[in-house]
Amino acid sequence: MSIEIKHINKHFGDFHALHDVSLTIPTGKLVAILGPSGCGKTTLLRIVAGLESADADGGDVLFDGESTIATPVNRRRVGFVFQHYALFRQMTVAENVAFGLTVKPKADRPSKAEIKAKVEELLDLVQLSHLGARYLDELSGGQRQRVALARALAIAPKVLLLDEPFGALDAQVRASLRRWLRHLHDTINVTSIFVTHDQEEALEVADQVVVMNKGRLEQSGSPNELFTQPKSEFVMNFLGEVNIFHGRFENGQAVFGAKAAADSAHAKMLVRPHDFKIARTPEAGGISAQVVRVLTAGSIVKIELSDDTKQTLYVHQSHAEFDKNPVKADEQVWLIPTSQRIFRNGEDWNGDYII
Amino acid sequence: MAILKERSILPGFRWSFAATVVWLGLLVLLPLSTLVVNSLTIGFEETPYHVVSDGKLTGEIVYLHDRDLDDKAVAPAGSDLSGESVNAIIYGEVEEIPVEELELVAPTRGERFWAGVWRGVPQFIEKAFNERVLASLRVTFSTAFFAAILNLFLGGIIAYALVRIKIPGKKVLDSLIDLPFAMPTAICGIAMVTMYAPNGPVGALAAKAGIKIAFTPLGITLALLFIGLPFVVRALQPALLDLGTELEDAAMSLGASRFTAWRRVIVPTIAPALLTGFTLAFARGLGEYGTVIFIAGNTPMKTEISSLLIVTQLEQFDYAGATAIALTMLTASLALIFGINKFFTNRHKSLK
Repeated sequence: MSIEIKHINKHFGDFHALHDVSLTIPTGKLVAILGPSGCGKTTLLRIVAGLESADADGGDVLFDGESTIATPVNRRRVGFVFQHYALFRQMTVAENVAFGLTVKPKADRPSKAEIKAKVEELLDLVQLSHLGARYLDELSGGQRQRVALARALAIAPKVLLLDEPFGALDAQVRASLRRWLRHLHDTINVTSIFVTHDQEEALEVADQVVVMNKGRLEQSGSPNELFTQPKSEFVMNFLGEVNIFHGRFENGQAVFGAKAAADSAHAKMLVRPHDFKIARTPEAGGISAQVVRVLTAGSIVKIELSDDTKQTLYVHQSHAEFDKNPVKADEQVWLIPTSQRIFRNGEDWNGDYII
Repeated sequence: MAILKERSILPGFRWSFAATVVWLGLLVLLPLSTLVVNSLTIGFEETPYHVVSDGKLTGEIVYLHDRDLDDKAVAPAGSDLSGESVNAIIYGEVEEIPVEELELVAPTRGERFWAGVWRGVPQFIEKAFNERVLASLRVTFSTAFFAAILNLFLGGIIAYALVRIKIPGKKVLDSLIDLPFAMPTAICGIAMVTMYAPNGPVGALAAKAGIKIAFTPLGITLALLFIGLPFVVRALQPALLDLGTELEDAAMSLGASRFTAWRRVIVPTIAPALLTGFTLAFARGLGEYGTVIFIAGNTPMKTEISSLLIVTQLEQFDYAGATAIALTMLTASLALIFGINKFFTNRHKSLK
């Protein structure tokens, strides 16, 4: 089932939470909505679910081309997974999963045996078949979220919506659960949207990533597209690590480094930590910096430096590259960006620059 | 090697706990136990004396109060009556008197005890379970129960409104809830009578419709409604605040109607708070005195509550009778409240 979000606006009192958001999600895709907290991503998800109403100014949400904006949440048939699970404490795991089936109107309600079979099948799917009779306080966070997922899937949802599903879990559990979620999605193939503020999670799991900022949609595309061709400073800064150099524009040129005023924020150059070459002698276009620390533990070597304005910079190198020319703490080096993006007022700027 | 001592659950826990238990004992358990002790004295208010006539035991026994003894000649238990004279107590003085003038012989300790028990049990039953007492218990328990049930609904709605709805002056409204706690109960009672008596503004209207409020069990229920409301609201508020909207959202996204979401998810989740609110309001209703006596009319068998009956007994200096009723009420309340709690916690195992 495809989802089409068309010109959605949302105000909370005077606060404009969503600015004319439009987005199309093809059938069977897993899409991540990514953004800092307060950017409106959860509000958008709740509007798609029908838990929140959009401003009545012509915006619409379509499932397979059919308008659902007037359909109440309990008839929209969306599976919704909450950040804090929202499981029913007074019920067992199996009763939780069965809930969506037991509240169906009498005419469509499956028989007790059918419900039992369905619950078992779902618990099997989320690998919790041995815990059906337990109460929730005996379960770990990761297990609870899987129960919530099974409960949402029980109603055979048209779309699956996940609101920061792993937000309350610790890093290791999150990492394993998101791989598992990707795997699960490939098995059940329900069009899914999940909201997260964790860029790593979004890039790793989703087919398509949508970056939101301050109630607006910044950019939408495949994880690779967003990482390599960010349209705006915000997207580049939000996805992956960057070093930011401040400068100003002079005679149609961007000027950075020692020649630029320290407080000038007119021009910004963003360079990813792995897009630097390190030189021991001064070079044209090189940024003079002092090595502060070298971290070799891990799959890459992380070098922390301090430039002449005392700004901290990070450079990542592979072990092979590092071993060819290892730098040590307190060494004076010059960093030459091999790939960089310059932004003027947050927008992409293509022109000459000097450092 | 020194081993780190296991940490106490609170700093200075042992001594403070000991002090607490002692104080609780002195302030609560000791007075309560006198209730039991006092009602046990029922059979012992009068002492069985052997009647003596012409220097001989007649085998007859009279039960006399200490104050009735003044002018009687009483010999101690086990006195030898075969001689010419005997030591007896008259007007509190010991005198040697001719045996023919002796009127009574005191009972032995054993005789006294068994006679007390023998006469005490039926007396206790008579005092604690006579028709008037039973009627008063019926009035007390039924009005308190209905008021608590009604309060559960009304208080629930008010608590929900105070938690969820944004209205100007909510803070003021919130403070108003506590008013029944703070007001002297007699003032509430007088206010209610003024309102609901047949010549009061509301009472007159009700009278036109053929409903009598004041001086009926309905009036008592209304008074208890007023008194019990804050208990329910204050018990529910934190639970509702804690609840948030997520559970309702979750239930509805799974296809439940709002009503079903409430019935199957919200109510069971806040059940412990509902139970607490109900029990508190009910318990308060059982013990309420000040408000009720004004509006109840206090007609024996109809609108007389147990607390008032106890006071009535006390005014007639029938302490044993008063404590007998009190003990019955205490036992009944305890059993009922324990039963309610037990019943609900059994039904909701996960909420223990």
